[in-house]
Amino acid sequence: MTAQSSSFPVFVSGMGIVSAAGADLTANLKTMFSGERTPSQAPTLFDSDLGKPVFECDPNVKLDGVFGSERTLALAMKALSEAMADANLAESDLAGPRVGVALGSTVACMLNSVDFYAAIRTNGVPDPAPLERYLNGDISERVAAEIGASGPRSTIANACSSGSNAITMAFSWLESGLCDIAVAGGADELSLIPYCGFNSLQIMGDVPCAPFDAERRGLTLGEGAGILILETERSLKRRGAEPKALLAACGSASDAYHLTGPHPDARGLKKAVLQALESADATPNQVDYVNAHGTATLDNDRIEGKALFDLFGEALRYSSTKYYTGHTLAAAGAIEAVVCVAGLTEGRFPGSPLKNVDPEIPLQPSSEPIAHNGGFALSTSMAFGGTCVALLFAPCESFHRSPAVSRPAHSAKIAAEPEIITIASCGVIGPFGRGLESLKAAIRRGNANINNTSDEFSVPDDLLNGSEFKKMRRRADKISLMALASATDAATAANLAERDIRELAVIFASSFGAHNSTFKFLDSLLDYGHSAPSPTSFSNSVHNAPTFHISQALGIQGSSVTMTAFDSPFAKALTYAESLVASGGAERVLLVVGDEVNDTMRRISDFWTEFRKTPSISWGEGSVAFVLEKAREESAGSSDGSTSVPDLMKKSARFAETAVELFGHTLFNDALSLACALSIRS
Amino acid sequence: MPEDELLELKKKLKKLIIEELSLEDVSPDDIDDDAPLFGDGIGLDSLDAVELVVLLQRNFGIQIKDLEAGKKIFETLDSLARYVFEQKKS
Repeated sequence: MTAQSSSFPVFVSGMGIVSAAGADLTANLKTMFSGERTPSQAPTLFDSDLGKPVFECDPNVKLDGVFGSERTLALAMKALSEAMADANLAESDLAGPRVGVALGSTVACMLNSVDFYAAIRTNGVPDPAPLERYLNGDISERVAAEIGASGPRSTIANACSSGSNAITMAFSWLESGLCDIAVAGGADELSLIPYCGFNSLQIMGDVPCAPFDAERRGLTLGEGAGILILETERSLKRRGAEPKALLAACGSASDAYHLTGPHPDARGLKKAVLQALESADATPNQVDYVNAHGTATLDNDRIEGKALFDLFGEALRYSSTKYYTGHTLAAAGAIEAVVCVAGLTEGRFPGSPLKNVDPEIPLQPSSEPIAHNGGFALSTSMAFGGTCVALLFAPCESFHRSPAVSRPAHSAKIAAEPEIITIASCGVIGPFGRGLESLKAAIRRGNANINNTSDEFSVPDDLLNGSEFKKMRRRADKISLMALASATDAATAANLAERDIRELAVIFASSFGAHNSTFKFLDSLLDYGHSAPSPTSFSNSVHNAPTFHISQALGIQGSSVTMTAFDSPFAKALTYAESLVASGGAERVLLVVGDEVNDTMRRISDFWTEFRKTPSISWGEGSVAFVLEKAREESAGSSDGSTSVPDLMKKSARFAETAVELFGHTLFNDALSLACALSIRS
Repeated sequence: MPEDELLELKKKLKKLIIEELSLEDVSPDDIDDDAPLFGDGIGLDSLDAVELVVLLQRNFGIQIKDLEAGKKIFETLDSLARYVFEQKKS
């Protein structure tokens, strides 16, 4: 077997894990190979009368230290220290611009404190601590600061596939030569919000989860973190370190089907798996083990079990280790990646006990440990919004040094190669209206508001009332509708063939996410109690809801990922788009940024600026989208008509103030300035 | 069964469904008592099904623990109304 997916192979040199199954890798494997588990009958970390079981990390595991109440960060740091020790990395090895950090999280990315919100909605004075935690909570930035890493950093908020998306992103960074080492994975703490949200969606079991079992009653929430140290061959050689495994390939695709339900024929999952196999030059029978998403909901397991059978046939051995850890949300894909790599080094993978065979699932998971026979290990993840990810790991022995590999790695950072991607088109919506022509008129007029009636920077509702939004208005909230408007315009202006649209990679980035839905969910939680909050608001409160609405409306089935950052989300998304295109992960990228503002957010902002004694902020909203594509050779170096991104970014800097006048204060002013520059040129 | 009470209940359910499920373009008259609520008819989906579970809990104190069993109850507006009616009586 050979694995030659990439010309610049990516290795796993260390790993760490913390979950209810154990405080480190050894403890987790011991639990998983014993077939025993330790769920709690009810959460102890918060009060709830729902009485459904959870998997909590052992309270004796010391997490606190310097991170106080930041549980997600503490979990991530715990897994990271183990991974660093495992990789024989000194602190100094992770400092500097050649080290990246890609981490997934869901809970820590949302302002979801019930007490804080309860005070805000009644115009009371809240304890500022939850807000402070949220504003300081960008997990990739925090972890990067802890270890001194100053390479690419990204926090992925793509619901249940976030951890796998983070590993996929780091893979692109390394493949494209953007960094030498990347810390990749995910972390999530057990929290009241998903506990009540999943319960309301009727997919949380009243007994501990039984993946793929005929008697399965739904998922059981867990918490934890999984971290991989990913590294290039050159970096490993330089520090004389031995890799544990090869990350042979990553596949990613969108169902473009339903916000919460998987495609009935597992379209996205199958596509992601086939893509990973193809790019690693592997055949299905070379896969020794699949760590399935296996949440133990009725739909997931029936559809995934069927898909695995369709893809691999009856010889496949697979399990769901959520049986031991519960569903750890953004940590899940990362924890399960660690299990795959550990299996390759240990020579066996954990099974997951099964009592009752489900006749609707053609292939049963293995109850007993599964032997490694020298082949690949695959981890699958599926998220709300239809993002599916497949991570394919290979043992190091399988890695034959092919001529491609002995080539020197990209020595130049891609940022220094301006001709990698160009902008094919742009779509924009803001308080001034929709489209580049409206933007140009507003710049000429020097006034943001189309109707001149309000000094607030809101996008008028009638811009989002058109027939194109009709089908989704019922579910999609404002951030999704604005993102869809700009994305539709960019896709249309790029004049792409149907196939090219279908294969687009979608990146959505925002700072505050879908907070209207988060607040709606908190309202329903406060009004109706833990047992009956709104399931639709919960589903829409994930940061990747706009990503889903874009993929579904436009019929995009390529990879999709959702990022969040307070510090230049656009620049971070652009970095990923560049590495994705440079490494051959996508031909074209639909990059969308946006944020929404509502009265609650304005109130919270005023509370914060008053508390901090800083000037109040006039927040604006809107969205801007770009279709980015691989630069053609002849376009490099051209002057006036250049669409190279760094050139345009430089030129657009002079529009920074104009963008504030037109859009209000946003954290994606750089993207809006770029839209201004493009509109003037159009 | 007092048909008047059932009729009132159906009216109330239609109004609640339209409001809670944000069915902007649907009027109470569009919901045929005997047409399927899911798939065809007014075209509800799995996320609407769980909204219905929550709707029954909030407005009638009725808990549906098993969504598979719920499928029969949610088949048509008529079956839903009759179920709520029975539950209220007992």
